[in-house]
Amino acid sequence: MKRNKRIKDFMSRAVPMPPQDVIDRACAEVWQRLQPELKKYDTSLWSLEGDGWSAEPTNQREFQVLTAISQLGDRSDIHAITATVEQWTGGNMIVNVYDTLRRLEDRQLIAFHRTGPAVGGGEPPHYYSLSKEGDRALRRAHAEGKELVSVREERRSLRLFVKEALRIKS
Amino acid sequence: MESENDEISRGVAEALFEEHSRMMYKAAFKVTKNGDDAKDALQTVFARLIQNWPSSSLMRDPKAFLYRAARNEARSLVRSHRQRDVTEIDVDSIEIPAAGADSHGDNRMGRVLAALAKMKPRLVEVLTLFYNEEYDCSEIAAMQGRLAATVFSDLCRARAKLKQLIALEENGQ
Repeated sequence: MKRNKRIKDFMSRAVPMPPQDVIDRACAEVWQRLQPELKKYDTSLWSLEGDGWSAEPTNQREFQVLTAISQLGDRSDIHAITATVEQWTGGNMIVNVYDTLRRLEDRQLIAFHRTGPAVGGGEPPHYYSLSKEGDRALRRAHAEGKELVSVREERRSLRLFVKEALRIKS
Repeated sequence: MESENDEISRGVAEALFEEHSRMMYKAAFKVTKNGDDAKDALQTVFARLIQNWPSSSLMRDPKAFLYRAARNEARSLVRSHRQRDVTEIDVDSIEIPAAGADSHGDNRMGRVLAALAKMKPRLVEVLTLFYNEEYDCSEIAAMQGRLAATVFSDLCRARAKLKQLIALEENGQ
């Protein structure tokens, strides 16, 4: 669109702007001032596309399973993972954990491998480890402020505890 | 590979700042008319963005979101300064000008500026974005979250008013 030169001149006189080099200097100063704030956050997971993250989203159960695998390291077989998750949730979680592990594996957030000899003639134990994407997904969950124990789960484990106490008493 | 990926992602904050900070600074400066306040507004907007990442509005249109955020922050800065000035003012020190005295005297440009100050801020903003920043109507509409047709009609109205003011200035010279 063409711009009337007379109006353009008038506007530049009426609404003066600092010269470009002053603006550049001001912006550079602000960028420096922002550095301490930027250091507090994991900006490597940011993206300008999609939902704003370059890592996969996870739900509460997936977050717990990923955390358990990360904490257990080399000892992360399904029983150890389930035991760790049950500490946070209470109740029997083996089915949920198994289901979540399969889902995470399909999404390539974890890798599983067989090591060691077969126990009692069955299959050798399966161990799980975080893939690079799984590690990023876990970091994203932390950045989003996810808690290992949700309020609902806290209530549920309290209910179970009270139930068990009443059963023992009776 | 990981460090390469991280390098790309780390650039998001910097790229966002690099691409939009000047536009945001200008938007804030237009409101505050003060370089330090414009810098403060720019810093506040980005600090808030870092703390509350990600924002769905930012994802939809970063330029429009950041422009509006900088302008609104600048407005609230000006408001808070004004409020502080009002509370700190000493009543005895107020000088009331004599009736009929014109603060701009014969300075016609000053008069036009005063008239421009009386125009709706929305119209002045459209004029500055169109003539000073050289955005077109559709870009301005996207930045302000309005219809392009509304921006166009505002521009026509503002231009007509401004032409009157310019004629006034030129006839006087």
